[in-house]
Amino acid sequence: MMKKPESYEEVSRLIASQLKPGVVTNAAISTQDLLQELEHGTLRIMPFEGGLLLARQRDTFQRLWFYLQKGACLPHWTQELPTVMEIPMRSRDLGLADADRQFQQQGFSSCFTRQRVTRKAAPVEVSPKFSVSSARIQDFQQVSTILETCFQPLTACLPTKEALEQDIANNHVLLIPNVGVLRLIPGKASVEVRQLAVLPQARGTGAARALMQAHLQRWGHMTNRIWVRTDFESVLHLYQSLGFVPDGWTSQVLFRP
Amino acid sequence: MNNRLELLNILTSVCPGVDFEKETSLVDDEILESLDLVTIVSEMMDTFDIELNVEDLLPEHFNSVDAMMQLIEERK
Repeated sequence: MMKKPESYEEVSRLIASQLKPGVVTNAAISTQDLLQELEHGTLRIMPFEGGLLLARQRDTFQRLWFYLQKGACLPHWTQELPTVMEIPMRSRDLGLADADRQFQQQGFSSCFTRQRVTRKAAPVEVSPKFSVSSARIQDFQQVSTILETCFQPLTACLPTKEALEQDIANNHVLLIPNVGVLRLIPGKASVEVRQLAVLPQARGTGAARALMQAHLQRWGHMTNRIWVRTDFESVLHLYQSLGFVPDGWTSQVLFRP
Repeated sequence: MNNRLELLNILTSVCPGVDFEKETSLVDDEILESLDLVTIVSEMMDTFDIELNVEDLLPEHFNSVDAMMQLIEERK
């Protein structure tokens, strides 16, 4: 059973104890993330022989991270909430492929697979068919509604209210009113398009391309990355037409109800 | 084998094809991804018998071979 950690020091110590040769993990969690989850009381942990599970609880589900030592086996465990997890890997990450198998043996099912596509810095041609602008705070509700209409909260890494407000304030959300949204996460060397959402009634009109072109007009001087479902062929085609190519990373999204 | 060569062996096994002696922004330029850092840190701890923790997983400690060597020397 997972439990609430006593302190950041306890979590830090547990994670440090996992750092042995051969360990595999899907946990790209920053210290800041851990502190935030601890402050909100939403972090759960479960150390076990050969590994560690961490969960970030949300209202109706939790997201799972793991550390698994070489040769270790996942134990059976009961969960408080439906659990979703993601295992990003490259073809050479055999330990992670084994972890994927073990989680599926523990009752997790594959929801879908994503692949990461990357675009090196390059200029972009823009063919303005839509008016795309940075969302303002007054647009918060509309942005939120579009994201919630287009994505499953369980698997889409949708932002919290606070995070989305901050993203809008930082001009990291593009909007075509009543049509679609693009939300980006800039890093030091690359920019990730985290969500590209076009309402169903507006699909096939070029809105997604307009959002991407507006985004690349501002951020195309950097490497751009997008995680896209492998079964979303039309979206993949759009990205490819804009110069994105698979870079070898894929990710299994798993769920246990 | 000297420490620098051992470190280079670790790095090239995690991320083949990278000229680690030349690069100075391995993390900032995303040549090393965050999940690679976990592997590198684990191998460093075992090879050099040092203790590292979550707080050490900072870009400035892993942006270059020199930075990693400095971290190793500080923790020995």
